[in-house]
Amino acid sequence: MKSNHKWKRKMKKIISLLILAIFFISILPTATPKEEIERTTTEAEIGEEAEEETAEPIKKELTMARDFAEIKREKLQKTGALEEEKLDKFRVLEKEKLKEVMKLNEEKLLKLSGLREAQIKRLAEVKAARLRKIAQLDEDKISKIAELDKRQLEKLSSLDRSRLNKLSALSSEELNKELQKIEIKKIDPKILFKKRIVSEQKINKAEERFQIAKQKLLESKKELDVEIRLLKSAKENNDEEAAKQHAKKYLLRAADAIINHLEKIKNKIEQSPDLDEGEALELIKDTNLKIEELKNAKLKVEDAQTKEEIREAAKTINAAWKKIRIKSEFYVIMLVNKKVDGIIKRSEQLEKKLESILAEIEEKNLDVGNIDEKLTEFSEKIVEARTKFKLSQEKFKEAKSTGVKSDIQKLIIESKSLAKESRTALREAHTILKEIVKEIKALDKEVNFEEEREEEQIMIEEKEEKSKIDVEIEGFLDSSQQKLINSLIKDLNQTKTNAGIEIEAEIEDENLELKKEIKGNLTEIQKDLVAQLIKSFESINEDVKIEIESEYEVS
Amino acid sequence: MKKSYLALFLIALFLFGCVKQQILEKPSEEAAEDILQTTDISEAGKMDEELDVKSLETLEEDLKLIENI
Repeated sequence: MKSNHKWKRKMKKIISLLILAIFFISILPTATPKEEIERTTTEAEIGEEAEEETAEPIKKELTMARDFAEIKREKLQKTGALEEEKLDKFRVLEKEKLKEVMKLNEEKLLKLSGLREAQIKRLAEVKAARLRKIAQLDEDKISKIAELDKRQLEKLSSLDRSRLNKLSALSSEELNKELQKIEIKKIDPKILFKKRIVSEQKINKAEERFQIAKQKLLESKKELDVEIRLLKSAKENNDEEAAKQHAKKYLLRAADAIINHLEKIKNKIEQSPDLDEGEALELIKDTNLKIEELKNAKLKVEDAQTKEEIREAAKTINAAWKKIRIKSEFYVIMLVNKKVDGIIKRSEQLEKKLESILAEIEEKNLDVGNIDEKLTEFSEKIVEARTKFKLSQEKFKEAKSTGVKSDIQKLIIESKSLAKESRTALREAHTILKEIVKEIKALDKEVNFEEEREEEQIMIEEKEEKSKIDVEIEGFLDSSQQKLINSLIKDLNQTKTNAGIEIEAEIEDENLELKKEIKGNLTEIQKDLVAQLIKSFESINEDVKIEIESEYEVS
Repeated sequence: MKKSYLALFLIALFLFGCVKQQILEKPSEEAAEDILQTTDISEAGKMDEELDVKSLETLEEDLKLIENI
């Protein structure tokens, strides 16, 4: 009895321990030891190699034939409508390549079966998702693509659908020329899209300050409207004292309004993850300098007693405002365009993810025809956005290198208009994307959107002659001065001169101060143009600063 | 008493395992939402409007008036 009881207790202990062990095993990751098996296999293989040397090619053929028959049978079972003879062309492929190709649906396999064996072998070297993308094209285009060498095929197949379709319509010669401009780069998607990390706390604080500045600007604007009305009324009534008072108040509120406008921009810069730390710091530093300039102008206004002093203070603030207005437009274009650029790049990588996802879904024999069409539309919208964005950037660059006020304003309007068109295309792309995601989720609930596919680690860049001439003009120039600048830029570009040119003309108490700093070796023509420009500044009314940075490298 | 402790321990272990699985697998829903959020352009348009200088359009003209007071 006693021993029975003991035995029962022992059994219970064993069972408890067993259950505990099962729980531990279910939580911990498991791994099967492969090494030993591989080592033993390799040793056996070495022994076999010597014996099979002479029978190698025949054995390989038999293996290929056996693999082909097996894979073909599997495919025909899944897609009953496919004709057996159509698949025979693919017998030239080795097992792994064959498996990849057989993941394609009926329609695509039929297209590829029309190619020669050499063409099929070449295309089979391309990764599954990319091959699927190529197989969507017309047979003529597929045939042309299948004649490309490995490197060209790699480049072409990495492109988005829209560019792939466009380039494959070109003649072989033109296609080769375009492919030479394309570079493939490996990237880490996680760090590609954010130039810097801005903490949630910093964003919230900057947004708070932004809202305060926005409110203050609205209040300043109301007061400006009141003061200018009262000033005009005092002038009509020939009330000089009242006019002076209202003029002073207006100037102080004007300075406040401009400061708050700059504060708004500064706080958006602080929040932006699309600028790198260096860029953000430079912009903030520049904004702070301008805010400081206006605070000093305010002191001048407060001290002003006579009409003359008030006029001078007004002149100072107006001169500052004219430059700040243009500069602030530039900052805004830069901020917005950085965001747009980031979204375009993310969308391009996203297209790659979706290509891989569609390939995975199609492997399960699910019909993705509708989603494919939408993905093509998405691709076209992104290309449209990218094209408009590039044009917008070009106009912006032109605006920065121009000192003629009317031209700057015209170019800013053109740049903003193109940027808006780019954003419209991105908005339309986003609508299509929502539909794509919805349909994918409806079709296959097991799709993993989070997983990073191999395709996303590749980025396409178009090589261009990297002539980097950066021009920044603060202040305004007349048309003859602008012509000199344009000639200088053109010559720097033609001679590929690396140089840094800084010219500053400042008016202090009616005295002109000219500063010049030149780095690099300018040609005689370039030196002459700089001299002419400096001479032309002797008759300016307002401060001007010109910075030209020329860095020329051929890629 | 010992049995009940053991039973409690096993239940706790089981629950821990379930929760760990939930945390490790980010729901596909969230990842899909993430994709849509990071490609949403509406914030750029909003920023453009918020930072527009239209409200200070007449400033230059009014300051010119005061320059000639």
